[in-house]
Amino acid sequence: MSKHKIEVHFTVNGKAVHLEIKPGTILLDLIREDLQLSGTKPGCHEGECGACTVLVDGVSVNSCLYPAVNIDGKSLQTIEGVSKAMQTLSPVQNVMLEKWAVQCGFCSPGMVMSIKSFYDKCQTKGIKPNRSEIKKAIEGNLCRCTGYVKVIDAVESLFEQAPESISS
Amino acid sequence: MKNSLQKRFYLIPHSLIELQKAIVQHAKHRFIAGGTDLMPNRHQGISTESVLIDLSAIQDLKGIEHSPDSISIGSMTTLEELINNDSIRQVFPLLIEACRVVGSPLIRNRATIGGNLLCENRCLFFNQSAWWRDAIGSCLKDRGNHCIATGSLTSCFSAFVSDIAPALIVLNAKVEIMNAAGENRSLAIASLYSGNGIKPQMLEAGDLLLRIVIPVNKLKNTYFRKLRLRESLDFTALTLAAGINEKGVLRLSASGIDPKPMMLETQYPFDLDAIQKEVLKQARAVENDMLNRKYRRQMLINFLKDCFTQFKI
Repeated sequence: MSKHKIEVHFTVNGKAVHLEIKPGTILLDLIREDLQLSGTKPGCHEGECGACTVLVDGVSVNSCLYPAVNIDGKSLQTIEGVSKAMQTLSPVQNVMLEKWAVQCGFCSPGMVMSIKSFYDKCQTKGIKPNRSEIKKAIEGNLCRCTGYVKVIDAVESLFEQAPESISS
Repeated sequence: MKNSLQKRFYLIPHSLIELQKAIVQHAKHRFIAGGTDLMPNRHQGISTESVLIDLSAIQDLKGIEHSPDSISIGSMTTLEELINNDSIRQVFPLLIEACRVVGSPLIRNRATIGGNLLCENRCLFFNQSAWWRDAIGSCLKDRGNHCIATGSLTSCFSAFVSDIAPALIVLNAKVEIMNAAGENRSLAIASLYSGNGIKPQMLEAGDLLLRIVIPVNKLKNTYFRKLRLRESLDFTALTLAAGINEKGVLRLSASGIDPKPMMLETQYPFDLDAIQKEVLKQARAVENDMLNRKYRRQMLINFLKDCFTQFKI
């Protein structure tokens, strides 16, 4: 418990980080301003659009609603950390490209994080979701361009691929 | 920010004892659970407390415990944890239905059951940006002098929007509250709510929702429906939950149509006209939602008829 500035220790995309932050900081600002990782997009600031989705301990959250001090001791993964050393695309990103599930690209980082989190959860439980379950899983991510059909196609296609080629 | 000159504190107590010390040090504070309701309100400047006490590190507030005749849910249990809990799914499918319609998967990963029960009442004229509210004038709930929706000088009709409270009322759940002095009390969920849109909860400063205790009471049939503009994300414009047991006791509860949850318990044989009348009497909806008052009240009756058909009564 402290005032003015709070120390936080956490890992971002596998790398240990130590920062001093103001109490009111949101995780989204910590990522974009302090960590200079601009792949995570600011959208509505009220948890509605999902553009700012990141994974905290593997669970997808809206970083605009997440008090940054709560990241202490946790593992943060952003869009910059989904592919190996930022050289190759991750399976989720590849399948989105294949299916033309990207247009302007603003929602894409958030979509990728939500889909990755959903995919990992289904893999752990050994579930292959149907189309309506896929729709429900990405309902927290809004896209103004694609109309969602191609995004849902991409997720379906991801689940049709052999599991060993998917886990990243 | 209106109070930018004030010192801001964000406290993270790790136990109930540390929490009580924090409450004593900062009499004016606000608890933050998952933050999915509070954070947008802070962005919009309608929640301005300078001291936030984060409950996420207190283990005593987490987890689901079973006993032969009840299930106890820690107030900081997330909705996603509830949805994935096998025993809740088996014993209280109604609660799972209610959790599933809240927000989006991203919201449910953070939102807690305690936070949902104590979420702030909402209104079309209150849940807006500072610019929007400056343009139209402050309402009663926003320290103004009249209600913009109704013109009333005294009453705020902001809507109670928890989807989970109606389900828990039908399940006859109780909440355990700890006060600032560390004393516990237990009360029926419905008695948490005042009906006053400005201060919707009957809680004093320092009162903490510890857990929700649901008795294992077999319901013969349950009903749950939510009305909203979009099929996801939106707060409710009307949620109706209902349950009937083997003895013919029918419990109904609704949110979204009054500053507090509508609640009704009645026994077989049912007087359907009387039930409809009583339900409408408690639904003091005003023009403060994207869906208009008349439509929401009509849909309440439609849901009720749908429920009666499903229950074969």
